[in-house]
Amino acid sequence: MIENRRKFLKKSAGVLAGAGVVSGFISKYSTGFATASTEKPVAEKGIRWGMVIDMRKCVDGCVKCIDVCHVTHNVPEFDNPKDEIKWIWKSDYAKVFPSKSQQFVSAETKQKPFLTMCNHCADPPCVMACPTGATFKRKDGIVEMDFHRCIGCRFCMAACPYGSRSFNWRDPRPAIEDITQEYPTREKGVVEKCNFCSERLAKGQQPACVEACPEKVLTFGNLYDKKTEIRQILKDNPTIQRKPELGTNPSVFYIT
Amino acid sequence: MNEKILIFAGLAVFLLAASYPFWQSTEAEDFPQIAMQTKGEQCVAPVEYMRKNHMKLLNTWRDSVVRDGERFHIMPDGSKVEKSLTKTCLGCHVSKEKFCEECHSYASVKPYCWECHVIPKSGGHTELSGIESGEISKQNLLNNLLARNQQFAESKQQFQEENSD
Repeated sequence: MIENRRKFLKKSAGVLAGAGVVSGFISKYSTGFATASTEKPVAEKGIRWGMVIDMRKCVDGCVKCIDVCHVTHNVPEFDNPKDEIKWIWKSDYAKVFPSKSQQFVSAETKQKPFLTMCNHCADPPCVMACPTGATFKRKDGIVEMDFHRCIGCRFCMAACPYGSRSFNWRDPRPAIEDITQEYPTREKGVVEKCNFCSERLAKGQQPACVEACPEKVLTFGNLYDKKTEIRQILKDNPTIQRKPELGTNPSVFYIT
Repeated sequence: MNEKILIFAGLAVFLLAASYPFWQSTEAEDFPQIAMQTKGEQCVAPVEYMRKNHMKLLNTWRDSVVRDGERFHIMPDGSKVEKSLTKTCLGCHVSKEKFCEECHSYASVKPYCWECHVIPKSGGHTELSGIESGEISKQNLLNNLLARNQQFAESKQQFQEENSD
């Protein structure tokens, strides 16, 4: 009996050591084969809404798209920048494109305030972070928020690499100049962001910002349909996305 | 002996006080008779069902609109209406005070619909795509904003010119 136990221990030690060596080799070689690309092959079926922002046409100082969006969606305007709520806004080039790959950019581009909004990523980190499923990805690619389910934990704000989300620290109602009847407001303690005007898309309308822009800076369309204007623009022009190295696959493209 | 009297007297007082609500009033307050002002001919579901289950219906509507993008409800006669509390429900039952609040305050229910949803100004918007009604006020607001932006752009230009000198 004692001898049996001794044999058993010896054998098991040998097996364990062997397994350790083998697993070491496996992990060594498997990391060697890991792919560097963040892009996933996609079957281009159905709808994936996307937008191209042609910054060459965007006029400095014009904020028509921002105003229209914020009026349409009852976005409050607070005096204190800490309370700021934004769905679409303008930001410095360096903040919008902090990646090192954009090094020798013309001074004109660098000075231009870039239009930014939710990127409606194909792989949205905010959706993964949300514990209640309040933020979710629709079949048509829109990263939508169900305000009813938001508990205000702000995990999504920490997860979003683009700062596209705002938190209602205060009751937004008093800060809305003229409440638009067709869209609800939010309440205190809820996160909000751009929804690609999903409520307008349902009526067959373009997003409010696209419609409002007099310079046709914004082009909206189905990225999975090769015949659309947006795909033509993407084909004819070199475009960039925000922070492509993160692998979020944004649906908003820029022409600089 | 004196103590016993005190105890029983105390008990009697306690029982009287505790049972007061039961023997004082057996009749419940009258159920509110809602003078319902309706515009349409038919409801989205049978009235009996709606009385008991309107909250369930609204929750189903909410989930199917927000999460599945299914925005239309098929009426008993086959026509389509938007799944919307503000547009469809209050578009027909015009007064929110009478239609919602009278019963809710009687039953002491406090739904938080109106923390976010906007109470329709003129008894709901029955139009399917009611984007036009607020258009004029929005236009005014936009004009104001645009004027402000114009000023901003001009001042910025001035600033740049001064800087370039």
